[in-house]
Amino acid sequence: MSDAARPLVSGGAAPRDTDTPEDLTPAQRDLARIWETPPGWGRLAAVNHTVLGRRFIVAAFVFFAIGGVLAMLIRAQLASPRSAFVGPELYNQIFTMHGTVMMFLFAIPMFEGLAIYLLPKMLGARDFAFPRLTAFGFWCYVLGGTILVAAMLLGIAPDSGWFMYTPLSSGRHSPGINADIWLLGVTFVEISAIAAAVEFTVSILKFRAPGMSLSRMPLFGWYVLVTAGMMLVGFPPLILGSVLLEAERVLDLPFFDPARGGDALLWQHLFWLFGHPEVYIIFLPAAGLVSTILPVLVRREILGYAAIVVSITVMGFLSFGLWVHHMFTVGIPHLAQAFFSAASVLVAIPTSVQIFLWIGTMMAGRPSFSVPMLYLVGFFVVFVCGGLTGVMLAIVPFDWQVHDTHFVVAHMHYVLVGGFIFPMLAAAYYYLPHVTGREPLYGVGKLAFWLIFVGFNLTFLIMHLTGLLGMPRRYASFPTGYGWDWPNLISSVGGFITTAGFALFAIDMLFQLRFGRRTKPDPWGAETLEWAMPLRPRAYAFASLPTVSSRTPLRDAPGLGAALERGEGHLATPRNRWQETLVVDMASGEPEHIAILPRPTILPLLTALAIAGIVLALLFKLFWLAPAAAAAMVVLLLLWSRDAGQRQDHGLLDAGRGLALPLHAEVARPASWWGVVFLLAADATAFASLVFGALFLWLVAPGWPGPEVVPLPPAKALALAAAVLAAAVAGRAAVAALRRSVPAAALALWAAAVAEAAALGLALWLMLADVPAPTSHASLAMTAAFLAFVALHAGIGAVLAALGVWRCVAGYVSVRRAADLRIGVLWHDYTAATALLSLVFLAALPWLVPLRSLARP
Amino acid sequence: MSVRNLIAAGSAADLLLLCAGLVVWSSAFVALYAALSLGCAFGWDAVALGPVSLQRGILVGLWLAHLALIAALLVWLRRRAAPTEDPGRFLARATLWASVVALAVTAANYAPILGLSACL
Amino acid sequence: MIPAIGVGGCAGKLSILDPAGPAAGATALLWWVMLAGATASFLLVVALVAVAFLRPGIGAGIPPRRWLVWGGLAFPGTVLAALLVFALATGERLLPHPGSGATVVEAVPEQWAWTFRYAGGRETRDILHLPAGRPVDVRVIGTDVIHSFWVPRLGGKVDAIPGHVNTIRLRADRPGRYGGVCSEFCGTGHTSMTFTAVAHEAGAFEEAVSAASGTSLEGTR
Repeated sequence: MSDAARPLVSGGAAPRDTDTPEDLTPAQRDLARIWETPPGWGRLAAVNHTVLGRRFIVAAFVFFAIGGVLAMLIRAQLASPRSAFVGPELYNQIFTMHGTVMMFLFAIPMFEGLAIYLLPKMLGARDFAFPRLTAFGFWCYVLGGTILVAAMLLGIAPDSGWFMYTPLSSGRHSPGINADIWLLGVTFVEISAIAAAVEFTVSILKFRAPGMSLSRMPLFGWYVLVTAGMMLVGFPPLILGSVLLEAERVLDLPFFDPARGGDALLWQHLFWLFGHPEVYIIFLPAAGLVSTILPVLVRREILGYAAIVVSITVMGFLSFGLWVHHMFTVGIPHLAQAFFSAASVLVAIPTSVQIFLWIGTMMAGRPSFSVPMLYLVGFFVVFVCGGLTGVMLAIVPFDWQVHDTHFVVAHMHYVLVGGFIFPMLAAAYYYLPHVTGREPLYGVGKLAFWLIFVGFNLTFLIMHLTGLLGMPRRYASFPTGYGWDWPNLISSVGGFITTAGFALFAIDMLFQLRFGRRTKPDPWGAETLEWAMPLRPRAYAFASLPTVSSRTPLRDAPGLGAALERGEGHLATPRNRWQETLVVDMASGEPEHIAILPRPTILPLLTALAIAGIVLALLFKLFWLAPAAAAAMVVLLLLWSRDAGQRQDHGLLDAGRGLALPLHAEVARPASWWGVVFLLAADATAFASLVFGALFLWLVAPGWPGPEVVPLPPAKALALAAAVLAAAVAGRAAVAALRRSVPAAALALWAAAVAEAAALGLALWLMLADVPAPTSHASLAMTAAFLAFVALHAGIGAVLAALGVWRCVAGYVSVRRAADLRIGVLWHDYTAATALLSLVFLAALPWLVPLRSLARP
Repeated sequence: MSVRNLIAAGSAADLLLLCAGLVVWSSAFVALYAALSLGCAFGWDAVALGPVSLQRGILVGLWLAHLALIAALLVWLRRRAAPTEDPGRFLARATLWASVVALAVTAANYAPILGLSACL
Repeated sequence: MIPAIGVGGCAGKLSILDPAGPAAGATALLWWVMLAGATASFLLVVALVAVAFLRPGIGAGIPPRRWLVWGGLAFPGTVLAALLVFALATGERLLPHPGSGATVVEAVPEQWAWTFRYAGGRETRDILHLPAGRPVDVRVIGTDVIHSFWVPRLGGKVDAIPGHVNTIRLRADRPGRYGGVCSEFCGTGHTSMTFTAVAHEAGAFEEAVSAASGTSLEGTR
């Protein structure tokens, strides 16, 4: 960055926190007052992306340390045939929790944290579209993770393996609370993943700097966009599976019990339908960091921007066609295995496109061994190894041999450590000056690298051989005489060296926080917007918002950061104590409107606590408490809307630099509308998974056709159909009526609320009165599940419509401010569509079930 | 600068188009896996359909139908008046590539239909 | 079929690298082929990265399209297509095609022991008797939780899914004893759920089964 920037950042002698108030212009002082998180207990109310991103990263690292300790226990247990120090009961908890913690409490949240911290700054926005949702996700993650870890400390942790195969995890074979903790705890944590996915999708598409068209977006934005899209489709099958399995455990609904028309394979399909995309959900953001950092370090723009965008889009799709390669030994026809095998091999091609474009970029540039670069080289070596063994595992006959052996354990660690942890460590050293405003102590980082790199390869390279020598995974101890002694000892030694490396990394991080030299702005000479700000970044990120005309805004205008600080961009002068940022058109990046973001609030924490109440009530079988906690959750969620929106029309407002834009409340499709669209996309995936589950059981499960399925009473079913349709019509009528008057719209919304409430009542009535003995057979349990799905959505629709009435009465709605009603339309339409599909399916079921008797036994 | 003009209705559609070819690949995946499972359950592999079994006939038919769909998409993408300036040009080019890739992937992914035994 | 050289562990009773039948042999061949290909690909990538450091700027004149087409598409595309065809053909050969006159035995795993059933209602426990030199179809029958039947030196594994029956075809080339394990995690007894496959001269098989099942159902260990 140019010298022009210097006066704006404090010099080397300044205190370690951000600038003293005297350094700030009056506008910056106002911005700071408006955007800053309150001190003391007010910290619990934080909604700011910089604050929450840091907290996510710290929490994820704490869970990583916990997972690491568990890994050390595993390596101590398996160091030699005589070193087992716990019995299988405890050991099963240890390896289950190692996998669960690393996957759900470390990898995904760590990526979320980094993306939360970086994305708005990279995209030139002051914050995300839904800051309170970020905070809500954080609290769900921390509380859910705490429940899991607390269970472990009490010795009642899940013990069925991190993929929880049923019937081992069923009520009969795991009668304790352990499996419930996994199902409820992980589902609680998943809420944060869905929240982050909606947040990222909407923010990347809409909350960017003016002029940042999709073709000028930093590649990291594309990577996270694809990842977030995958999360919206990938997580719902797991959430649905967990709900069904928990329902089987608590309510005895036999979705997975082969004796009553269920099938254990359904769990595997739902789990891996999530589980394989999950690997790419973890890898893609890390690859995005490589694509971000590598070009800066070798001083050369990345080659093949468009090719990379196409590659990651293709990977996003292909990764959903691989899941059965975890199930090659469950007895699926070879031809079907071939589809998945071919897709698994094909996905290597977009991966190698990226690898060779990275190599090409390196060769075209001038790489040097800075610390982040060292970790990137570690990434190349380790990840390419993992990718190559991944191709091997995609090969069906070879997988029949090494599946469920230590070969798979080795492969998986090469992919996840190579494809995620090494890029994350590179990013840690690269972005640390950004986060802390200080430079790391370099020598330590290099030593940590060599310990981690050598230790890791020592642990896991030899582990391929352990697997080839026939050692199955999840052995609590092993006998001598199979050639497993030496490989395991080497793995254990390597594991402890790796741990020493990570400990050194942690110490390095803490030390540089204390002793690191103050960094200059943009120390790496990067050209993207996250560096166009003084370090450490302030709560409002940009004092004024930049306009972008290429992929490298800092090359176009080296003094951009200073100019923005001087207020030469958009929205430089705050008004009305509003937290303002710009919203643009998805593709072109043309400015579209101004969004006012919500202030710090404790509501996300309280809502997450209410959900924790539900989880704990279900865990401890306090079934009277669960509805109370659920009611508290609904009330708290309704309170969220108090601060959203405007009570008057503002018309076009000055956005700086001659631009006049409307407020978000006065556009047809504000961020909240898009948020609901993407939330419904995730919901639709859950619905599709439910349909898949029902058809799968019908076709594959033993014990079909079961008892005769009686059709639902036509009168009630038709009434339910009429009710959901009436709600959809009333929802649309409300928008139309708004042109006449707000009270007319409120009246139509009343009708929608009544219709949805009627639908809720009818669905519950059908479920309780007209599904005989749902515990007797999966066909009946599935019928109940469809009706519960309809009831849930109708219930939420009723609340939404009633909320709309209140918003009309309270003055939040006008002809220009109709987004509340448009969101209602989305929900009522979706509810009607899924309810009608459910009813059609349930009507077809009595005809479908007898057909199964024609199938081969 | 009129706000209405700025809200290009085509934005979301352009992004969906980027995925269109791959959505057809996904559709082929679901259709073929479902048809294979149904056929093996209900014995379509034992029913002769000319030189092949009913099972293989249905699978090949579904496969070709999806290939034709992507091919039609490609023809349409080549013929339409694509924007000549960014960002439209970038998205149009990426869409074309993604669709070519989708065609290649759909051809390669399901080629085992031609050779392997269906229900073992 | 594959020379057991180089790796010290090849003598292990559960080693995939010491195949004793056509299924395991074909897979071991696949492994050595893939290992060679993977090593070559790995060295290529590492060499390119090394060159980037040793000769900075050497690739400045290489157009991106060349990296994309040759490195990203052509190289992996060719290698992977060849591998996939070879592997699918191998897999097809290993399937239990009907009409091959295979001996049928049933494997019934339960937490945490194996029962094997033979023609005529005979049973053995934790020892699977096979005729050597002839194909054997093992029908693996799902019971309580998911287990997996695996005799590494003879061939791949197949899961026992409750309510389902899966069949795997194995053949032991020579008489002998081959280790078997449950390879799908199945609870606290997972580690100890092992069995032995004993391959007999073809003529001695029926006699051995009768003797073994006649002595005791509790096993012959």
